[in-house]
Amino acid sequence: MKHLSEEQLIDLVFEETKDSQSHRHSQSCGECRERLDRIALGLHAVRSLDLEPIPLRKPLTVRFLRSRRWRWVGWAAAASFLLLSLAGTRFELNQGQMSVEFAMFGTQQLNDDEFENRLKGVEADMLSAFQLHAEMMQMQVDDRLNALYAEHTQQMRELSRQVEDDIKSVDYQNGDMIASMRDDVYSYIQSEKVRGRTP
Amino acid sequence: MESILDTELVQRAQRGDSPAFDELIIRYQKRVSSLVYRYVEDRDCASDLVQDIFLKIYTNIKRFKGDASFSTWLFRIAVNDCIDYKRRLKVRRETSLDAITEKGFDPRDDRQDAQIEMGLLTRIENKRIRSLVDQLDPDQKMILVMKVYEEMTFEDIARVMGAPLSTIKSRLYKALDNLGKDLRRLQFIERTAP
Repeated sequence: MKHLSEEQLIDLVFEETKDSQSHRHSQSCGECRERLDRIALGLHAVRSLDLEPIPLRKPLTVRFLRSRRWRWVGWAAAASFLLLSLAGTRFELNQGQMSVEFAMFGTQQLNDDEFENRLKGVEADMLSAFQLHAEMMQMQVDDRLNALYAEHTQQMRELSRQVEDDIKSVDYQNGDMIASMRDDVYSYIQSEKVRGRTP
Repeated sequence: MESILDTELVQRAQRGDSPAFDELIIRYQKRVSSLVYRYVEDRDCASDLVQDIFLKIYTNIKRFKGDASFSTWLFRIAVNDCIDYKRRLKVRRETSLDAITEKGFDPRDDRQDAQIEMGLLTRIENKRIRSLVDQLDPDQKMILVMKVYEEMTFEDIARVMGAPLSTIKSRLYKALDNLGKDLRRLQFIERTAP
């Protein structure tokens, strides 16, 4: 029988085959036994790893609802700004502080000039309402970007710490190996000297 | 709601029925979280990835045509997200194992002594094994996680990965084989260390 394929070996190690011929072959063939032992060792190691269970975030669905709600709130806010602006309310945003100025619309008969002026005023209010909405959205985006940046920085810090730990661990191991090799060489020189040979 | 099949819940979710979508999340949240966490091995990253995956499911659910089962579709998105994430983060680190390989050590040279010694594994830190698993090719690692930790069948894994059964088994073999070789090198170091 020729050597077992990778698929057959995987079926064997996961005990997902009833093929007795494969079993017998893996017992009698040194090379296949060796390959099977190697993947069994890998599997054993992976199974031995234990991770703490991940805590499920309960508000997962709530977050979705919230995200949908926020989208709706965004549009509702824009519409409200528009309506209130049409009604003569002025909004101003200075250094993150919002001020609101109320004015009644259409309390007296307007002539053409006055009407035109009022119309221009409404247009200006509409523009400022749009601008205000855009600025508020920008602030939200900025906040999210800042949060992401902070998160990214934290992740990079952790990664860097982990890499440093690994490098240190490798250094220690290399140091140990070099010391061990040096001891071996020293012992060899000593034994050769005892035998009267020059190494 | 619990007795309703996935297909019906998906149809309802596609029509904008929020409770139906929530039920789908409840059904799969645990399995997806477990898969992602096992793969990235970091709680915070796993939580963020799971959120992103379900957000992707939510935004794309209308495009789901039912060619595969919902769970296969969902897991395929999760798997792709995880592998993408890992590829982005992948930093090849030089380790002492590479140095030993360069010096010409071959586990076969020491086969007599390198018989499987499961007990010796306890001497090898979990962290090191994790690091070895982490160095696997992202596809290989994902198949390993799905098979070993999530106990998925090879057929399901093949469907999720969109690859033939033989390819899945072959990749898994390579993953375990690489791990086995690296572990023997570690055992070699442990034995020779003072």
